[in-house]
Amino acid sequence: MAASPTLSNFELMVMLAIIRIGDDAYGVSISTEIEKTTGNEVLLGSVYDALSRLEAKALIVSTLGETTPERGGRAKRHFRTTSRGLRLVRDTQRSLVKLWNGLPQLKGGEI
Amino acid sequence: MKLRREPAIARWLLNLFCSSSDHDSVIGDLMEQYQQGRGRTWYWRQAAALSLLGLYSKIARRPLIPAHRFPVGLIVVAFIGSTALATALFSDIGLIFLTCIVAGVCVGIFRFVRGEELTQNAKPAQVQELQGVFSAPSTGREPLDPKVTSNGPRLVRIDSSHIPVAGGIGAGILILILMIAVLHDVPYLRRMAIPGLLAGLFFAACLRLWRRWHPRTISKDWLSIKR
Repeated sequence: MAASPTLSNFELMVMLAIIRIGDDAYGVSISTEIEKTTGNEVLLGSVYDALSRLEAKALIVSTLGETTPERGGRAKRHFRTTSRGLRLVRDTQRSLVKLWNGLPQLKGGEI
Repeated sequence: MKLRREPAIARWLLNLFCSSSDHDSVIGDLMEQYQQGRGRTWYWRQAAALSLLGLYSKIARRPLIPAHRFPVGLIVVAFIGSTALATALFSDIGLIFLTCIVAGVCVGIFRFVRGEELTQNAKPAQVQELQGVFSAPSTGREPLDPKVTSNGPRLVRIDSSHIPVAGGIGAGILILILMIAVLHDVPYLRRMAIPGLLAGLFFAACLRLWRRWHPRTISKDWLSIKR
């Protein structure tokens, strides 16, 4: 039986950003979404690197969009999650919640 | 709408290392963000990271040293490298050594980039021949789609002259030896340096002429396919 793919921390963030954004998910909007939620600057290159890995695992699909002069005539690449991707995110969430539950060290907010 | 000019060197780096169609969207995103008011430093940081990733993906996609040559090549490079390092550490030619390594790496990068151009401009006949190599039974690969090949697919090939790191270090070491010979008091080497250089140039010119008269064809002999 083939092992199901796993998600790294950053890949999970990218997947969640795509789900949050919906139809307009492309490189810039995904990195902005991650920057907004984490407060850290994100490199577009690393976002695209993660996106290509996710696409290779068939967790997301991409389509080419419109071109504009300010993009130098280059097309936008829009991303959306596949049903397989959604299932994997849900499984990951379930596993993480199980791991988080019942840890007294993580309750109360302050260490 | 008036567009802002992007930093020229950063743009050049992107053209150099991220020229494939895979990078079109990300470069478009970068330009879009820059036009919307992001700073030059931001652009530079993103371009540098993209260039590194682009370079890494090029290298990762194409193993640089043929598998059957790897141990010998590695041993030779290690031997020459350690000799050169020892010379640099135990004599006063550290600066020359550094200059030569930088020069060698530059030569290596240049050759790698040029090799990339040659690959992308491969003629259909060469592509067809490569297709035969790719579809060898041992690899279990299906022959490439003719429609795809006519558009010039990305070819996997190794030519020893396109090995960036080892080639660069090799060129650097050669320059180093010549410079040591010329600048330092090593009489035998110094005597050999100029005739050696002239002989090398003569040999290179002969090879070039020979290649012009006998256009080379791609064969399995100088290709090593590994994915």
